[in-house]
This record gives sequence, C-alpha cells and structure tokens, in this order.
Amino acid sequence: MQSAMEGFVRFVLRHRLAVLGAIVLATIGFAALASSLKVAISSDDITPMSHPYMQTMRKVRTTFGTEAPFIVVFTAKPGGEHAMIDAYRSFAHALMLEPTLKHDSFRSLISDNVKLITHSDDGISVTGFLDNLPPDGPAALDEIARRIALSPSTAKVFQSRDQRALALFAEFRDAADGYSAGNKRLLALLDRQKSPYFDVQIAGQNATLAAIEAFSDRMAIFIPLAILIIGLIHYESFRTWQAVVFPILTGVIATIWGVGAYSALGLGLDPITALVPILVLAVGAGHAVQILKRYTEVFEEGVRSGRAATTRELQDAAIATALGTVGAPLIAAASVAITAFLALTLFDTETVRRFGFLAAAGILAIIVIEFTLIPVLRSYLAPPGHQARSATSIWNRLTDIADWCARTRPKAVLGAAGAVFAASLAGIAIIRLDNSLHLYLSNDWPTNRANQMLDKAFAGADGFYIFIEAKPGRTLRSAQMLRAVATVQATVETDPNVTKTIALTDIVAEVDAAVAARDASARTLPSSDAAINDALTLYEISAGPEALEGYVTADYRRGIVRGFTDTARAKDMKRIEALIESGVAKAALASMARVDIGGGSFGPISLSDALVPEKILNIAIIMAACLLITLAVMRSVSLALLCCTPLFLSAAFVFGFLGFTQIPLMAPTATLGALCLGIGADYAIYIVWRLRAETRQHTVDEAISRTLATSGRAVLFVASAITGGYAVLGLSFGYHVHQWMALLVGVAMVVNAIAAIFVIPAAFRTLVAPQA
Amino acid sequence: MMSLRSFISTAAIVTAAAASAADLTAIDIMQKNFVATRVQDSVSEATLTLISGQGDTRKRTVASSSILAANGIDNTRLTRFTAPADAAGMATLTDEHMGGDDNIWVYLPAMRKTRRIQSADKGKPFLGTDFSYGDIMGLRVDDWNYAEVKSEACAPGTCYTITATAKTPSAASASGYAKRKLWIDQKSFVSMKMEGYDAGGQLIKRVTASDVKLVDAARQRYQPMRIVAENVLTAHKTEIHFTRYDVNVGVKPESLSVQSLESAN
Repeated sequence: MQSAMEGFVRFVLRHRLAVLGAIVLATIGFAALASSLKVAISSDDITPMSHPYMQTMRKVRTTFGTEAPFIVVFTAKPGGEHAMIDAYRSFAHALMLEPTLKHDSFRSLISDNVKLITHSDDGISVTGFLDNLPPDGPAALDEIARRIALSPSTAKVFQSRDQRALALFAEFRDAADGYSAGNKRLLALLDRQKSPYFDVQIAGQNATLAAIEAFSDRMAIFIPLAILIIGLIHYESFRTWQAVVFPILTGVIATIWGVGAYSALGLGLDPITALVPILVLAVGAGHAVQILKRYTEVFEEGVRSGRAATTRELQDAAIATALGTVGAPLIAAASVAITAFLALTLFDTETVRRFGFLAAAGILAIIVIEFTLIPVLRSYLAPPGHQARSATSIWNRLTDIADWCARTRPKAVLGAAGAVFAASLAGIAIIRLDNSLHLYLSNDWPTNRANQMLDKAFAGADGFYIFIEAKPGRTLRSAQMLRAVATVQATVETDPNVTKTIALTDIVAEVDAAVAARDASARTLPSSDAAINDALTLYEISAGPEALEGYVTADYRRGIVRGFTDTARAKDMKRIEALIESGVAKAALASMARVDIGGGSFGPISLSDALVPEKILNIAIIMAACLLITLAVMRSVSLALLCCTPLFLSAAFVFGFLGFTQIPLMAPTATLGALCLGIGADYAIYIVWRLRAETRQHTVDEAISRTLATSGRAVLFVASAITGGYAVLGLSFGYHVHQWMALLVGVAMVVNAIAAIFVIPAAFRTLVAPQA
Repeated sequence: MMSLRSFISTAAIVTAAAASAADLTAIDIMQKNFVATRVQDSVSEATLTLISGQGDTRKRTVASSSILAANGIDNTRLTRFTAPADAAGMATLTDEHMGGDDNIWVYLPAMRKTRRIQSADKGKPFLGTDFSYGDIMGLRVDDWNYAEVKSEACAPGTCYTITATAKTPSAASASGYAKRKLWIDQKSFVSMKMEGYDAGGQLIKRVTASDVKLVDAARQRYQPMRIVAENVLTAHKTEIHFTRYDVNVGVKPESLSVQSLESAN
C-alpha cells in the first residue's frame, strides 16, 4: 500500500503542472457554485418530518396555510395610547397589502377572521374590534378591552392583560428565503411606524428562527477569524510560514470543494450546516500537519543521509515517502471520519443529514487535495529550514508527561481513564434532552425577551395544534362533534401552562350567545345541529367569506384547535400531549374523527424523540466502521480495538459533560458525537499506526517515546488548532449554539488528544505489547 | 324620506338615462350604469360558489325576490338559502338605503327567530361572499370623481373605461375602495369589469360580469347572469350564477317584510 501511494505521488509530481491546473479550475468551479449559498432555515429541514407531530404540522400548513407566526406586539407608553392604536391599525393594513403575506393565517384586530359578535336591542352586530373607537387613547384601550371581554376567543391573544399592548400574527409565503426575509419585511414596514410613543417587539417561533439565521450569518466573520487562529496556532507549533500556509490552504480549498459540491446538489446552508466549514478547515489543517511533520522528518533524514543528487530530487523523494508512510493511516482516519459523518445521513432530520453529507464531502476533498495539490505545491517551494520547536514547548512537555506516564504508570492511566468513563456514564444519565428553539438564544436576546413578555402578558409565545379530521358521514357542524371538541379544549386548558385554546366551538358559542342575547363568557354550545347551522351560517354571511378559514375547511370535515402555551419545554409539552390524549379519550372524539397533535412547540419534541435512537445508531455505525477500517489497515484485532477503545472514552466524556453542565442535547449538539468520534479516530489511528511502525525497529518504551514525540505532538497541534478554530464561536454573544459548540468541541478535542497520547500508549504498553 | 341630495341625484339619473348615448360624459355613463340593472321587481335563483385561496369550494343556492323602491334607487330584497341542507331555510331581508345604512334581518330557522344585523357600510360582505353590498347595489354616483373616459374592446363588444376616485375619505371607507377602474359596456351600460384599489393604489378586488341578458326590453334593463368577485390579496373568490332571473313579475311589497321572512318558513 505504501509503495502504491508513493507511486501515485510520484505520478502526480511528474504531471505537476497539469495537476495544478486541474485543481485551480476545479476550485474556481466549486467556488462559483458555493458563492450562491446563503443561510436559510426551513422548518421542514430542522425537524424530523416523518414524526407524527411534524406530519400533523404539514397537514395544518397544507390545509390552513398556517404554521408558526411572527407575533408583532405594539406597547403604548404613557400618553402614547392613541398613537399606538393608529400605528397598529396602519401597520396591519400595510401588512395585508404585502404580496408575500399568508392571508389565511394573518390574524389581527382588523382582520376579517377576527370579528366581534355582539347583541343589543338593535340586533346582532358583527364588527371589527377597532371600529369606531373613542378618540381618547386610554379610553380607546379600555373600549378594546371591553370588546375583547365580550369575545372570549380573542382574550389574551390580541391585547395584553394590562391592556397597554396589542398583538398581531403574520406569516409569509417565501419560506425558501428563510425566516429572516419575513423579519426584514416586518422591520421595513415597522420603520414607517417609528414613534417615541410606543415600543414594538417581534416575537414568536418565526422570529426566533429569523434570529438563528441572522446568528448563522456571523459565520462570514467567524470563518476568516478561525483561519487566522488556526494559522497562528500552527505558526506557534512550527514557527515556519509553510506550516501556516499548507494546512490552511488544505482546509480552505477542501471547504470550497465541499461547499461547492453541496451547493451543486441544490442544498442550502442552515445554522447547523453553517458550522461545517470550520470543521473541514480544522480537520484539513490537522491532516496537513501530520503530513508536514512526516515530510520534515523524512527530508531531514534525507539531508543527513546525503543520498539524493539535487534538492529537487531530495524534496520529491521526501514528499513521496512522507505521503507513502502517513497515507495509509491518513486514508483510514479519513474513512472513519467520512463514515461517521455519512452515518448522520441516516437521521430523519434534513439538516443533520446535510451536516453529515457536507462534512463527509469536505473530508473527502481534504484527501484528494492532500494527495494532489499539496505535493505539487510542496515541490515548488523551497524545502523547510531546520526550525524545530524548542524542547521546552508546552506540546513537548505534555508529550513528555504522557511518555513518562505510559512507561511508568500505565495501569494508573488506564485506571483513571476507567474512572472518568464511569463518571461520564453518570453524566449521561442526567443528560438534558431539549430542542426548544428558545434555548438557542440567550435569555436576554431581544427575541427571547419579547417571547418572555408574551408568555407573561399575553396567552404566550408558543403553542400547538390539534388537527381534527371527521370520519366519513361526520362534520364539524354537528353538535355532538363540537361538544367533543369543547371537552378536549376544557381538558387541556386545565394544564397550568396552557393559557387558552381557540376552535370553531368558540365562534359558535359566541354567535349563539349573541343570538340569544346572553353573555358569551362560557363556551356554551347550542344543543342541536340545526342551531349550530344557524350560528355558523349567520357568522359566515355576516363576517365575510374567509371568516372561518382559520378554524375549519369549507366542507367542515377538517378543523383545528389552536393551543397557546407559556412554555416550550419538552417536559411540559409531553405533559400537555398526555392531557390532550386524555381529553380526546374522555370526549370519545376518536370515534368521530381522527385526531392528530403537532406543530409549534411539539416540533422540538419530535426532534428530541428522534435524536436519541438516531444518536445511538450513529455511534454504533462509527464504532463498527472504525473497527472494520482499522482492522483492514492494521491487520490486527488488538490494534484495531486499541484504535476504537479511546473513542468510547471520549464519546462518553463529551456526552457526560453535556449531562453535568446541563447543556441540552439538541440537533446542533447531537452532531458532536460524529465530530468527536470522527476526529478522535483520526488521532487514535495516527498514534497506533506510528506505534506499530516504531515497535518494528525499537523497544516498546522507545517506540512510545518516538511516537509521542512525533505523531503525539502532531495530535496536540491538530487538537489545539481545531479547538482554537472553534473557539472563535465563543464570541458569538447571544447565540448559545455557537458558544456551546466552541466549548464542547474544545472539550472533545482535549479528551480525544488525552485519550490518544495518554490512554493509547498506556494501553499499548499494558495490554497489546506484552501479547505481541 | 328622500333627502334633497338624493332627489337631485335621482333626477339626474333619470334625465341621463333618457339622453342619447352619443357624446356622453363620464358622469352620464356612470348614471346610465347605475340604472342599467335596476328593475322594478325580480324573482331569481342563483348559485353562489365560494372558492378559497387553497381551492376549497362551498356552494349555496339562493332564491331571491326584489322590488324597487319608489325613489327608483333602493331595492328591498329577500333572499332564502335553498341549499346546502345545513343552510337551507335561513333567509335574509335587505332594505337598501343608498344614502345611509341598510337594514338587514336574518331569519334563523332552528331558533325560529329573526334577528337584525347592524350594518355599518356598503363595504361589508354581501351574504358572506366576496361581493360587498356596494358591489351588488352600486355606489352613489355623486360620491366619486370620474376621469379618463376611453373606449376599449371588451367581452360583449366595446366598453367605456372610466377611473373613479372617491371624493371623500368617508366615501372610500364606506365603499372599501379609494379608486375604481370600470369597464362599462357601451350598449347595455352594464359594468363588465371593475377593479377596486385601496388608498395606496394597490389593487384589492376585481369584479367581472358576463353573459349579460336584456331582462326588460321596454326599460332597457340588463342583468349579467354570471358575476365573479375576486379578493386579489387573498385569492378568495365568489361566483354568482343566476339560473333564473324574471323581472316585472308583480312582487308584492308585503311579501318582502320581516313578517314574510318568518311566515314563509
């Protein structure tokens, strides 16, 4: 294998100009493809669409055109009441003229689907909530509150409990542009309403997603910054500019290739896939370090031996030999990493699949570049001077300590590793599984503050849907069916976090109360189908053709109950789900209709439900791939197991760390397993491969020392480069996902490096070498 | 009692209707348009098809009787829903007042009660359709400024195209339009197409008529048998298709009263 690789590298070097030209052309092509990519979230991509909750969401969207709205809240300052109401009305009008607005889900106090139904001596009145308000601002707010009190279905939805804030709900059609496009549209319209008399906030799930998109755009700053940090770390490690340029060039070009190939498939970046470029950069740089380190060693040996006639010959031979010797572990390590990331494509969530594909494409690109571009460029540049780092560097001290531990305290090292592993399992037991979108942002970020305000002052920023599909022969115009729906509503409303529910039942009850000239405060339904028909037809002919579109389909066979909650936490939503199911059972609704739960705050739950089994499968695939690939390369069961065992330790440690720190396991942090194991396998394979090679010529202790002094130090360089590269995400203030990834990748790299330089040599000396 | 303003308006309409179609001003055309579909009385049957932006349809069939008030402008109209079964039996009585609020009563068959519905303006939906009361009744000619009379080919032959702009914000608010663009058939003076715009100049509704029938040859009164109103913003639309439209059949005023609304059921 080594000679084949050397032969390939010599072939590349013989055709260096052609190879260089092809690489340049390919890079230009991939860069052109990559340039059109932008970060945009689609709700279909960030949730497992085969999950029942998400299938319900899709049905709600297809049938009622709604999903999760932006919630815009106008809050009057003292003396600004009238200005606020005018601005609210004017903004709602402007929004209705916005071409991309989803009219069927637009709900405001001036909408056709939000009408006040009242009775008086003159008869029934179906009017808008903001019609004919008193001119005095505070009196107008009081009047709105009075009207809302007459219409229980609107209570806490459109006006705050203290009456000073009004809300409206809007969604936009152009989901392909992401949520920030809708947010920008709202901001542009709100710009016209700017006033010192009131405040405006944008909340809701869509606003959170828009904020996440905006945070992901920060990658445009963080990627160059990561390149700079990785470069500085490499310079600190090698003190030569070539050691800076080669690794970064490898990472950058691999990133361009990977992202370009990804773009060619018509895929878009999202907040999770946007993290991949730094990963590819770091891994590419890491691989390049291993090659560079080996090349420098071989070149210096060549110089000392004086075998080659010219420097060019010496350099070409060193390039071929270096790649020939590190090629096998390099390809094996890359294969494990590629398998690790490709295993993510088995996830049900599109964004995780894309992360896996993009990362795998990037690593494949790294391998291609390392065997083509890097040898060619290397051959054009002057050979490196003898500028080894001083023996007192931190890397040397660490590898020296690892060497000492492996030689003198190997069992203690293994015991400590076992203790850490056991402790990590305890952490895993208390892991917090929560994909709530609120957790992505810091609590004091304006979107989260607005969401918190909605939770306190209104019915809440979150919610859910109950989708009801009547069985053949049944419709939602029947008294029996509506009573059952009302029972479900009453049951779920007993939950302390469910602030209210709205359904067709509420409209019928309000119209019936108006017709009967009584108070509508209780959800009292007419007892006969005929009376329900009266109420519904009366409402239809009075309120307009689209007045019921948000509640029921034209044939009255499908309807929704909208639930409002002041929570999006997984455990609360699970409890609410159980309550809905108990309400459905109590009302015997299932005998009349198919009932599905989903949407809104159930989206994150669906993700959580899918994550654990997928994560376990993912780790199992990575372990199996690592074992098989290392077995093929090492041709030794014990060495293959030696490569894989530290992966258990590092994976357990990282997930245990998640448990102890209560950083939630969610879609972005779930990618950490593949990242940790993929790169951990890299380190392990380099170390074990080198140990195997060194023990052929040296004693076990000497082999360990030599391995740690070469590959061990390279592992530390790579780990520090990846840690440094990801550390820039720690500067992403307000966005927890970036900051958690910065911390967790750092932890993963440290534990991977420790496992590689401490545990593997100790295990090699204690368990493998005596058998050999 | 008819106000002075209404009286002047009515007189102008009657005079204009008698005038020659040659050299017509925009006002002349609009006055002819106003009376073109006003019949002494009528008995009709129609299907109302409501089509949502998502393509869902709802159909209702109605039977109506109408009688023109003595002022030659306002109609009293009784409409009964005949299908679907869940709406059948419900009836509405509309007593139009061009210069003010209409009186609308609804008969609820299950409760055997009649309730008055308070109606604020002509921009409100007509029987829960995409048509407003103003689209069905017509809007006061005097409330609008007219411009740009041109001739343009249209479905039945040639149309006058006229741009009408509300004279006052209240006229715009009441009708739901700040501006209308009308295509009026030069022969029948029936509005074949109307585009309604809001104050910002955004097209918000489109009403089109077709299959125009001469229903009263003596008075030259016409009725389009098919009318479609489309809410441009939401893509929701309503089609009214008359399957019967008889005029001058001797509808008795007493048959169009609140009592008759209840007694017929």
